[in-house]
Amino acid sequence: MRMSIGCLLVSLGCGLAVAEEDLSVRITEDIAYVDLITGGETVRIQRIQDEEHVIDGGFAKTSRKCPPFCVHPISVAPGVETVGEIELLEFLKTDVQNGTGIVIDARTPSWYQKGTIPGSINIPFTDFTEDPQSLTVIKLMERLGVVSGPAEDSWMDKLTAWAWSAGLASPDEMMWDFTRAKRLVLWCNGPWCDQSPRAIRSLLALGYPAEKILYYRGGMQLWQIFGLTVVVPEA
Amino acid sequence: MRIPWMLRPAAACFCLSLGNPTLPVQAGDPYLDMLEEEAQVLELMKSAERLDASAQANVPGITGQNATRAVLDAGMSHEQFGAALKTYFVGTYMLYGKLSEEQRDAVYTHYQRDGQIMEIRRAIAEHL
Repeated sequence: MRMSIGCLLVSLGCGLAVAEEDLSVRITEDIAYVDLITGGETVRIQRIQDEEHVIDGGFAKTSRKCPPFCVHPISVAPGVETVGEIELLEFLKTDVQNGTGIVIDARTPSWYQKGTIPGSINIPFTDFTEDPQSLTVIKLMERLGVVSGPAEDSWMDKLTAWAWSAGLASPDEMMWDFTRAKRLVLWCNGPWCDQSPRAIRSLLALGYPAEKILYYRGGMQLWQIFGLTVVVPEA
Repeated sequence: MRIPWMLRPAAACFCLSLGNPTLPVQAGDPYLDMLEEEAQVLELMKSAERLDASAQANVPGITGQNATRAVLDAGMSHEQFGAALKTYFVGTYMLYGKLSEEQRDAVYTHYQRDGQIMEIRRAIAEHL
């Protein structure tokens, strides 16, 4: 299931404000929880209140073969900002709320279906690596607010657009207009996971502006270590 | 192994899932293969855990939480280990039953190092 981008809103009532409820395991001193409206339903993001809780399953696992499951540096690519949980929540509250941002779970569907961060949509990293002129990539880019064809803001853009439409320019270089491209947060399984870094590298190769891309390096592993809410998408 | 009648539908679904990986693996990309392999191990573990918890709900003195956090007593023989799985961890035992003798030996060796049911379940699933 892919959640509709437009249906995701952050409730104004709670947001990142101090909660009325008495939660002893809070997100920060000032933030008890964040309510999101996604798919017409309210989802509360908070931490598990059981102080004895420990993580289990795949995210308790410490060791995987490297390569390919190697530790990633904080910076995934020049110009791409790395964010943590608080920044991600803030992004959900602001950018996703006003429709200028999207949180992308870049994992394959088999991982996504086990549980995701509320407010995320699933776009597997493999979709980003397809032929830039394929329908998959064109539709994907449309979801991100990108249209095919170069921007025509300046005389150089206009010249480029003319060259592009006349078939005189390489389509790889000027296929997209990123003027209205949304801000993105991409994440995957954790700091050892290469799915979102691959998606980010592919986006950059397509020309997506680095300053519009954010990388949540902690991913599902850190999200679960903090006991934050995970939702299982409907099949 | 006798499975209580109320657990039979769940057990049947579980058996079907053993024979039918839910998602195709895109051939030719070792990274994708490894990702899907781990996802499948997790799926098996989760299914086994659910069945363990359901079965334990019918055993006096065992709580559902033990399906996740239980630690098997140390020092059991190979046979006693199998019997303990069969009695208390039906779902895990069903996975265990799919293994070859050699693989069962490896799981038993794993149990001797670490008796946590979660880790035993993982060791079994990784052999499948």
